[in-house]
Amino acid sequence: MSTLKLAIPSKGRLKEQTEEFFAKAGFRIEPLGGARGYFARIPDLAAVEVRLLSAGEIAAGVIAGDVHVGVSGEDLLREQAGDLDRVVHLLAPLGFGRADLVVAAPKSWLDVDTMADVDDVAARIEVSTGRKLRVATKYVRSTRRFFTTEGVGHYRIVESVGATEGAPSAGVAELVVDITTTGATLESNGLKILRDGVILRSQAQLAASLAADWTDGALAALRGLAEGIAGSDPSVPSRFDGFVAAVRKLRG
Amino acid sequence: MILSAQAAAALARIARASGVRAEPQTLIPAEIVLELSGEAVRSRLCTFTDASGIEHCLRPDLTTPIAQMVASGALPVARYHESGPVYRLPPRGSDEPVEHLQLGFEWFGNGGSAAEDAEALAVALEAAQAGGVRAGQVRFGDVAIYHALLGALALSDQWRDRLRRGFSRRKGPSELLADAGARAGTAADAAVRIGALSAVDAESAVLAELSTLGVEPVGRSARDIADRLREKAADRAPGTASSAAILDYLGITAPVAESATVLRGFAKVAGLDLLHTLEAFEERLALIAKLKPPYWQDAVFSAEAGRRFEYYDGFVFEFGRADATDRPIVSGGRYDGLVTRLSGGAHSASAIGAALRADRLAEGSRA
Repeated sequence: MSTLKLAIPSKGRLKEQTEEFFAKAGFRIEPLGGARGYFARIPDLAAVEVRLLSAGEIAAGVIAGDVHVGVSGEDLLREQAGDLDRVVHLLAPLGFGRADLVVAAPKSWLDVDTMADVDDVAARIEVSTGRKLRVATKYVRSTRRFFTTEGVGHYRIVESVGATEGAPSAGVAELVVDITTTGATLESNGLKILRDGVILRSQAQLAASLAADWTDGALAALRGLAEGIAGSDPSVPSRFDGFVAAVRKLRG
Repeated sequence: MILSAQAAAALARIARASGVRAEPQTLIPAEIVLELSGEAVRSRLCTFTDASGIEHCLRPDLTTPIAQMVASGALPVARYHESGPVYRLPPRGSDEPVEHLQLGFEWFGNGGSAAEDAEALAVALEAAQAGGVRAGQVRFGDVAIYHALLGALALSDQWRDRLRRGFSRRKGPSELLADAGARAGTAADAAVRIGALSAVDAESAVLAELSTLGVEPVGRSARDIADRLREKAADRAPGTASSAAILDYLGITAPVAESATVLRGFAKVAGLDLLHTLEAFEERLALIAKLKPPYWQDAVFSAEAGRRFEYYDGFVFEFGRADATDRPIVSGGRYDGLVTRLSGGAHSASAIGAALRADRLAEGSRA
């Protein structure tokens, strides 16, 4: 009888690194269900049910409380949650899946290095053309939050589905907000990252949901996981204690 | 939507002064709202996308669709009143409903006047009284004073524009001024070099620099980039006295009876000529006093009133319970620039309006 639902990435490098991470903590993840492979278990922690999902589904599942804990990128978690810290606790940064969410402008904009420049240029474009500066991104909420904090008002978001970095040269947007690891893709598309344009330095996180149904059994199973992980990250126990306190407070 | 007796009484007071009833569309192009108020409002909008990719939204207020109808020529420039549901997604953690009933008026005209400001305020407050509100506090301001202040100070054009558009933003004038020092001296070497050239030389230098970088101009012309580099080079951070005057002004709150004196005192201390704007302010106060609107004697002037709305550009007012200033029952003000903006400069009309929230009328009627 499983009591803690743990979601981990179902494919690719992220899956391998997640499995390595748990293995290092002493937890072997063993696939169940043959070829379908949507479920797994951890032999040493019988109370844990492991689900294999895409990183985006994991973020959504943790935010909604469909799973208790999940491994997903902080960028996806922050994008999908309105106010992440109210619904999710990040228990452990995992040291892989690193990527930065950044604002990039055409390299030809020699006058633009900062978000303050973006605001000036956006106002200038609106005065001369009557149109607003366009920002292409898949990260709509993160972009909106960052631009508001940075005081940029005159812009429009163009939601991109495909290759965001191509939007400026294709003429569908002027700026780009996208994820990058080395900056090489942006660079080769004639874009530069603004000096104060790093929205988030993201990596994979072990994220616990405040919205999930936390039975005593589920908390005990999470404690088991946290104790294993504490060997590689000594800050985990205090984060775990903070999470338990938050759960107790919600229960009233 | 059926009006409660209270809401019907409030609307009747509004209708007596407000011409014909307007029936704005419920569904409007999201584009209009986003162009006016920016992406920051998008998280509050009920939007959806049609088969051709065009985004629509449920009206977040009644002012926008009515002003849009005036801007497009569908409605003549005249006085209108209105009532109907409006839709805003509540912020996370809020128990506000998505839909609420709004009553209001929009008076379009050819010029506007202090007398019209006074009448609009009186009608809005009398409507709240007719709607059963027992007590509350009026908070009012005048965005035109802020604009006149920016005009009177020795500021670069760039800084005047920045501070003007910053008024309605979360990163407002005081945050912009605090960052002013950090903004200076951050440009790249090439940018500084080009900014010091003549217009013609700067454009050639931009083209040469782009060729060195191996990129084409994207989104903006080399000329535009050269022009802005020159503007940047000539830009100067606001001086200490200007910054202090702006911060001092934004900090002003005063009971209505003292507000004119406080503002004159501020202008005198700051050494600024705001005479014309302050005379208009005082004329408006005198006209309001003659109309003796309810709740007005305890009104408070606040220089920051109107900061939450992007389109107000003159007299602004809010009325609500004194213990719930973030939940106004009435909000209104002058928005002379809105029709021009919505029509892309094709039409213009002076405008003042106010909106009452029917659900909050009921709250206001409880002691």
